Amino acid sequence: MAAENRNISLIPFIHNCVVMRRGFFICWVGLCLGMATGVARGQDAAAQALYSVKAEPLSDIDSRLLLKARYQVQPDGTVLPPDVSTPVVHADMPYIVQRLESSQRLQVLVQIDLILSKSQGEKNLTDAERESIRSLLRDNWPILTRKSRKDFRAYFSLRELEKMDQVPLPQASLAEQDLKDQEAPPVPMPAPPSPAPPVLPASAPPAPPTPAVSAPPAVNLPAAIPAADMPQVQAAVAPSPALPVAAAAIVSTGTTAVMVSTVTVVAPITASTAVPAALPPALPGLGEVAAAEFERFLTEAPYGREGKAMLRLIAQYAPPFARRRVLNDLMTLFPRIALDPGRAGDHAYSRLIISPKASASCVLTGGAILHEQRKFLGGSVMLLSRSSGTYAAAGLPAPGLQALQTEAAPIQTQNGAWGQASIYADGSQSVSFSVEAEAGYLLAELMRFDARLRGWDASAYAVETVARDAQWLFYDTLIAERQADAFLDPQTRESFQQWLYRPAEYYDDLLQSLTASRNGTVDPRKAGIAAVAEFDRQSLVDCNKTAAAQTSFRGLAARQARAGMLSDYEGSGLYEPERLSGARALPQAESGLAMTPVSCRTDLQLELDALPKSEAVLKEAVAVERNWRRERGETHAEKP
Amino acid sequence: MRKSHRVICLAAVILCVGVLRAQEGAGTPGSQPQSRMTTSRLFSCELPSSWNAFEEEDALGAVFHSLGPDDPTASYRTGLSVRWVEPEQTGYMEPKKAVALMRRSDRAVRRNATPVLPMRVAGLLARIFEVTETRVLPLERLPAGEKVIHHYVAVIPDRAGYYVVRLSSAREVYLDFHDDFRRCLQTFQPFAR
Repeated sequence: MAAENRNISLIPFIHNCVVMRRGFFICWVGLCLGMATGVARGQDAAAQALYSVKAEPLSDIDSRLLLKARYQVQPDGTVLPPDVSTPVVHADMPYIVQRLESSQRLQVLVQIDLILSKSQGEKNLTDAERESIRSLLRDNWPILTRKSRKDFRAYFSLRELEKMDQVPLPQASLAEQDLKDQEAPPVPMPAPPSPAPPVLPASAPPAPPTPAVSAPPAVNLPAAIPAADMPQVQAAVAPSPALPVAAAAIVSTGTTAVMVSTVTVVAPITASTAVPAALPPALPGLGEVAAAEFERFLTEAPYGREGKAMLRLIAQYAPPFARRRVLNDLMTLFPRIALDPGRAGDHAYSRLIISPKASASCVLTGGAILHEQRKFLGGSVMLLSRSSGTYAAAGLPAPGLQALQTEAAPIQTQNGAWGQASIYADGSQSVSFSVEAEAGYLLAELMRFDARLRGWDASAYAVETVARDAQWLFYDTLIAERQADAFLDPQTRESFQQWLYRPAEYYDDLLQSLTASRNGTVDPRKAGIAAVAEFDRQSLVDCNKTAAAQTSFRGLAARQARAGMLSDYEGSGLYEPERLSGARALPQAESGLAMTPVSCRTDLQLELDALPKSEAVLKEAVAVERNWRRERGETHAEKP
Repeated sequence: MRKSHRVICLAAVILCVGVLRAQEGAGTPGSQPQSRMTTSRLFSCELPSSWNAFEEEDALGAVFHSLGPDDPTASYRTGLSVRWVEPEQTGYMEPKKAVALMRRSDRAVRRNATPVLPMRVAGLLARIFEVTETRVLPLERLPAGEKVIHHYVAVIPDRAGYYVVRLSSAREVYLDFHDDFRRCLQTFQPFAR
């Protein structure tokens, strides 16, 4: 149609050129423009064309993945997404295939990880375990990346590899910005998830051009497969709900309505790939979790070996009030546990990240960089972040310490006061925290997650008190069992011993540290529960004034925090004075410290309403600690 | 000039000076101390008006906290706490023993204490001392370095129990709060009596 229209519009124009004999130049320009418009229209039409397996057959594995994901092939060769009546357009198919392959890759890796977790170690695999891994790899070899193939070569003989490597590697990833998000739209916490379809902006780009696809081996798909006969792929490692299916959305761009197909694949969901701890409408229970039940869960849970080791410790040694909450949350919501200093930012041990998509991640740093400043009499130790983002936030490059450089090799490794440490030629050290110490911090983060989840986070100080009580009680039980506290790094040991032997000072110090601008966890104006209530009630009187005051307060705190951080760097001798002056001169916005006003009335009222929950949980933790101290028969300020 | 006129002039000058001094004092509202009364009505004392105060119940009993300004590195906020310790409470020990243990040195955190000085607080014989210790601050944030924390401590025995008043700050700025601590003690009024 487009070509016919183009011809019809061109005839009078050519006639005009020839008969009327007006300038040839104008004729040629017009002709060229007409042709170009026609080509563009043709491309648009091609992009909107439906994909047909008859015209472009898919590879064996891609066909299998499509069927697994409940796509249906129509008799005319077009492909219907699950629960959607609009066939897949040609331009979208490569992206769908890529997503399916990526999901399958992750599923394979998780399954292999599970087999290895259950085994006695990779070097001591039984025949059955080895064969299971081989089978998984063989079936999915075409979609494995070059690195994965290299990692798993040891499972096959050379002859097998020669044959398997004939299958070309999967094509490179398509541009990420062109991929549509297949997750549900962001859900504000703690409201229940909204099933509203994603709204695309009016300026949404048209469907991306079809990338060059290497010719896959031809395969004949069955003409139509009833949905009931589809192979139902269950989550391999954990029970998890299927992701919602997004329907096609019509986006109006001016006078033209463009059909944009938002493809959502109901792929086989493994907990590791698609369980971002979305908050459910119904909260997890608070019942006791039996050790055997949790062990069964851990066997199939989507966590790595270290994560599972920490969770086992938590299940075994956490105080009952924390254990009940944390295990139920874990078994229901699968919050992610990751070892990622980059995402931990300026946090020394761990950080809870709750994204706008209502997913939760407990990020552990795993260690830190130790920089010792030697002085005439003694010296001092400085702990630095492994994440370059922390330095960038202060407007500085990462310091030139060897421990921060990936290419530098340590001259010595030793098990010192800070645990396992790699020592470099310039004296800098990279220290790693023990699994036991990290398990304590993970427990505290999971308690913070529970606070957010169950809405007892109205008082930040109450949350911190409860989370840290759980952490210290956990360490105390573990130390009693092991008869040693060597697994704690000096800083954690200091805090723990202060809580143990000088609790009055501990609580004062905790409050004064958490309200300091650099930590910023607790607002000094609303530290206690009574203070939160008083502050909120006064703020409700004049919301505009409150919002302005809040913005001003946060801005001031951010400026103080930045100045304090730069002052610490200045004292460390890691940077030239000019470099620090430059960082100080940077405007606040460039350092990512800009603040936004609070949304006043609703937030304050919600906070006021949630205070009784905070108070109840705090009282429970206080009672537990009080009983524990009474049973222990120790007095505060008493140290052996 | 008559003698009576001289007296009137002198009185006027004294009055003017008094008014001016009073205005001077009122010119710095942020630092003007004001009396704060805890909700448990255990005590009252004067504290800087810009400090945020609240009272709560922790595992050791009722405690009053008042939070002041940040230290120059924004790692530790100056604060004053008042605890009432009595025999029924968890972890109770006699005041003399408590003072000895609070002053005990600790090599791990380089903890040191000054000698104990007696001071009359609200008619009670208080024991006052100072403690310094080294901590890695800011708490659980990076970059973190060793910083010395200074505590002014007063233990005020009253009947069977005693008060522990503690003002903690970074050592860099502890002298700035000496007067605040003294003023609190000078105006301290126990209500439990």
